[in-house]
Amino acid sequence: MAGYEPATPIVKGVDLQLARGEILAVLGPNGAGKSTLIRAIAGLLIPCDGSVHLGDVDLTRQPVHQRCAQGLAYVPQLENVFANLSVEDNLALAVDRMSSTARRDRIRELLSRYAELAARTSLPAGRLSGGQRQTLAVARALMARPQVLLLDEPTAGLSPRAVTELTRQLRDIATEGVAIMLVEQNVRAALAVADRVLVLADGQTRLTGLPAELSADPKLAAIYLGGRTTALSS
Amino acid sequence: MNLQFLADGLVDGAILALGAIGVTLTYANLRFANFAHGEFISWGAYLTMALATIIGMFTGWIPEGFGPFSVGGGWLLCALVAAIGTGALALALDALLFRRLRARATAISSVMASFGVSLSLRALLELLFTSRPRYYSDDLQIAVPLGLDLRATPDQLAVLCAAILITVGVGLLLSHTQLGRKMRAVSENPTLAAVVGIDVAAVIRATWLLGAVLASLSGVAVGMLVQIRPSMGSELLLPLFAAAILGGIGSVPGAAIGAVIIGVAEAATVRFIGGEWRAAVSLVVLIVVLLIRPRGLFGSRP
Repeated sequence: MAGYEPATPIVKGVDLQLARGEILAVLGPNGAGKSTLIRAIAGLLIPCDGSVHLGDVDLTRQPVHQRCAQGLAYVPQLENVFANLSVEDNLALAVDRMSSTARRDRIRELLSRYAELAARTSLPAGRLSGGQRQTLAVARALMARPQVLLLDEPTAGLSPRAVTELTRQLRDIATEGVAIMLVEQNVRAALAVADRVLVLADGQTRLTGLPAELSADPKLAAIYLGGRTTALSS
Repeated sequence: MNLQFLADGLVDGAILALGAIGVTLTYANLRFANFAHGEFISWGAYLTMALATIIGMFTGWIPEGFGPFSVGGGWLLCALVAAIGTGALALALDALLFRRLRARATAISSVMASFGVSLSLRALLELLFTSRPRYYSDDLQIAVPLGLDLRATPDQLAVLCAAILITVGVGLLLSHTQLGRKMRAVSENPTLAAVVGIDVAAVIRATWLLGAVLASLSGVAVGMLVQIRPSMGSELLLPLFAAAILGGIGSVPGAAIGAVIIGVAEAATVRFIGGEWRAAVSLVVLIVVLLIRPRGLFGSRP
């Protein structure tokens, strides 16, 4: 897959597959092309080369909002909730082709799962804490029962407790058969949640493997931290 | 003190509100100041008259007033069809011009283009109908006393009631329906809106349609109460923007309340200072709002 600026490919030669119920973490240093990769899959960037498939459906030329209807849900890193809209409206927005009763039922179902949101349904999303916003963004992504959930740096700016909570939520979602791909800077959080890890550098796949293998692999630290292996040993 | 200016200002404000809602929604959802919005007012007014005239030519129908009002049901039907026509005009402008500019140019290009559209649409009306003022009805309406020394014509009361109903209806549409949620989402963050599965282009079309239909109806109201001229819409442009900005961009109740404040302030100015100062009111309000509270009365924080 190539990058979005003509003549300056940011991501090149990344090939990845996601299985149902699997959590894939994409790691890599700043500028590795992680966000470009996930944005291209979500449809926010049109790749000059390469393709995106969901099952038998070719999503490559589909606009963002249609990929959503096909079962692809994307949670951006920043500004991932509508701050002026209430928690409930944020959730209600996410599904178009649903009757209003079905929509209400689905909202109730998700609220029963995320108690921190249930207590704040009429609050504008802009007044939620960072962790609550992330929960809302994930809940909204789940509204349409997606097959694939893409998350761009979901732990960025979260407290350690919120990271633990998010990890638990993502594991639960994967258990239900949703394929999850997340892009992360936070290596430890990513290794804790992922079933499989892919390490990007300079727009190319450098390493793939299981979290347990990779956390012991000095090559990961070499790519990620410029050789300072100590940072991972704790 | 005679409070007649309050009643007159309220009616003017109600008419302005119908236009200001379109301005505020276009500004919020499409992110540009549409200086051609006033032309939808003029086009609505003229299309209604043209439609009634054409139907009259073929069928011999002569519009008659209903009860104490200067216009009747047939005329209202023409106004509704004209509103849909004006909506179609707005959609055509978006498809031919503004959508292309959004895709590849900055917001200022759309603003400048809207100036051009405004001039063209007004010139077209002058070409078709000349710049001579027209009247929907030759009947003389007698103002009825309302108590407190206030008077209003039946037409004024009808326009006021209709404008209040329409404004409340649009307010409810935005706060309680899925289309309204989508519009608010697009105005806050179009990229995120697309990400959560909203067809942003469809929401933008709905915004054009709604804005143009409301403007068209306000043009018909002006025609009922005053007269119609090709320049009627562009003359309302400054008060429309003042009302939308005073109310807070994106807020329907804000635009309506802003419009009533502008209408009453204009009427008070005419009554206490002098008619020649009327046009200055909107400018003064705009300057004061932008200096003291740029997000307006009900605008969300940037």
